[in-house]
Amino acid sequence: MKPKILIVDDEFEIRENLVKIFELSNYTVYSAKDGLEALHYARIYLPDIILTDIMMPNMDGLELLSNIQQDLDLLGIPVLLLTARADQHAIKKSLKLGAEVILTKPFDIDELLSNVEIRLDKKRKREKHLKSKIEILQSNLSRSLPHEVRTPLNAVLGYSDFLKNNFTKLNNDEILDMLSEINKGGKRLQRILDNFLYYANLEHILNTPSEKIKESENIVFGANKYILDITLMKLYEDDRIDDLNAHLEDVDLKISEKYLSKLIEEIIDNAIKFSKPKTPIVLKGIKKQEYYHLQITDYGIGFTKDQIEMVDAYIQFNRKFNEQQGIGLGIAIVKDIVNIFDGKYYIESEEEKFTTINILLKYNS
Amino acid sequence: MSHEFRTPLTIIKSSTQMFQKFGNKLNIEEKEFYYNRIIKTVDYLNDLIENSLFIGKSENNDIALNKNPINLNNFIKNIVTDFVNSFDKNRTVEILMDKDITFESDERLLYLIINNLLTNAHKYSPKDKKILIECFNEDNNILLKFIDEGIGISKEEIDKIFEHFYRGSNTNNIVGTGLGLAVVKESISKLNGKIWVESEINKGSTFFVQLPIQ
Repeated sequence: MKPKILIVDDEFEIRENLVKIFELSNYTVYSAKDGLEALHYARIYLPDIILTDIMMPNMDGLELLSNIQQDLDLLGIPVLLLTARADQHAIKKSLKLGAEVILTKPFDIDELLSNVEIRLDKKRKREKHLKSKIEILQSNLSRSLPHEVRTPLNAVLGYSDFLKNNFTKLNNDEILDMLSEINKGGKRLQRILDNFLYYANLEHILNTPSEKIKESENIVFGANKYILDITLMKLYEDDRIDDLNAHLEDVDLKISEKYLSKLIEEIIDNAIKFSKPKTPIVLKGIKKQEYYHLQITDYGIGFTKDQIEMVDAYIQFNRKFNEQQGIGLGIAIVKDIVNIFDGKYYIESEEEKFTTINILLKYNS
Repeated sequence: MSHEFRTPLTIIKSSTQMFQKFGNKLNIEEKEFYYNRIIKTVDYLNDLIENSLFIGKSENNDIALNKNPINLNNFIKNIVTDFVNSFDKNRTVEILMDKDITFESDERLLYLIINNLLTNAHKYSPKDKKILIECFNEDNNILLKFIDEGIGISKEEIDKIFEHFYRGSNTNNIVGTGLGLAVVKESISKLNGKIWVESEINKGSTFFVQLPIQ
């Protein structure tokens, strides 16, 4: 498909020449005589790139640029500016507004064409990358989510069916047992759905630079105490407080409280699920250069090398052998949170021996 | 100022580079079209340079007056004849003037005044409308009127049209350097004269030029 370009210039002859040049270079060309007309056409035709003069009546090139940056449908379209005036103020302002490049009239055709082609190529690559990311996510979602949901859902449906059909034959204790299984299944489902939405939101933040910057300004003071509190709370729920062995250096971490708590909850949750009661869960935190190195170790089933490599969004493994659910999603959430705060993450593990989740986060020195 | 020069330069450069890069893809009509565009723009650029140089010189008081007796009747008739022959043979230009007006003036400046005002009347009025030039001798002054039935000038803009590079908002597709009237005004002031305009949008304009005989 031919790339679509929108050309904006109030000088009739220049506009017409530009139209001809891009038509001869195999583009689909739209043209407008000022910013106002250009904005209108941009919304109708969604061009791949916009080439605009700066000085124009009705709406000038800078105003057009700022309107494009405020329109979510047009935001990603690269804008190249042409100017007959080497006005430093206008140049600075347009770069601030997000213009890709400013070319001075009289421009050179080859330079103009290659500048347009470079921006288009960049845009194509960005779109391809985004598309492939979406495709991976879609395929992971459609492959894994039904599995994630099916086990607890089967429990809810199975127990409730059984209860309905055998209600009169069961004693109170048996009924209570089944109701608590139904309740557990419901809770699991709720957790999966909550995590699913949570993960979608993290992906959004990761892919939106302004959101990422906003988040990275947070600090949790006394983060070691906070981490310990969350850990104790999680272990208490599963009656494993006595298994904890913790040593955390004092630290103020560059992360927001809500994400730190989610991060710890997910890791501890996995440690509990993948190890047996009465085996230790070790929590260690030390400052190493610019990072605070947090290690959470359990002595449970462990992972093979291949399994560690496969850990990614919604990819679960060993499902046949393990009843545990939500690990794919949990680890994906941990990875995303670490990425939002420019930290590092890796797993060390040996099958049937141990798993250590390593989290490196920046701290306030 | 650089902006005014860069625009025609951009047209010339992009047209010529189009030949250089895509010459084999252009048909004969298209080639003809772009050749004409280049020639027209070079002419325009030439006018722009001439006008700019004139104004620059005039503002620096670098223009020496060269006064000689001029028979205005013949002078105007010659300009009009040349003009009609070279621009539009079908255009009606009527001249109404007192007989035998002869006065001392600078031929070159007088030519710039009359030629520019006649050209404007032609550019800014439909081809089938007549242009009227009146010329009278009044109380030791020459009063010249250039009357057209063209697009006119709005009240808001009438005071600005003599400014450098100012072009009326209704002149969109009509080629002009924006310096013609500035040249006229400068020339008239060198001759100690006056210029003023009466105009109505879409009805026409009358430019009045008053030049002292002594």
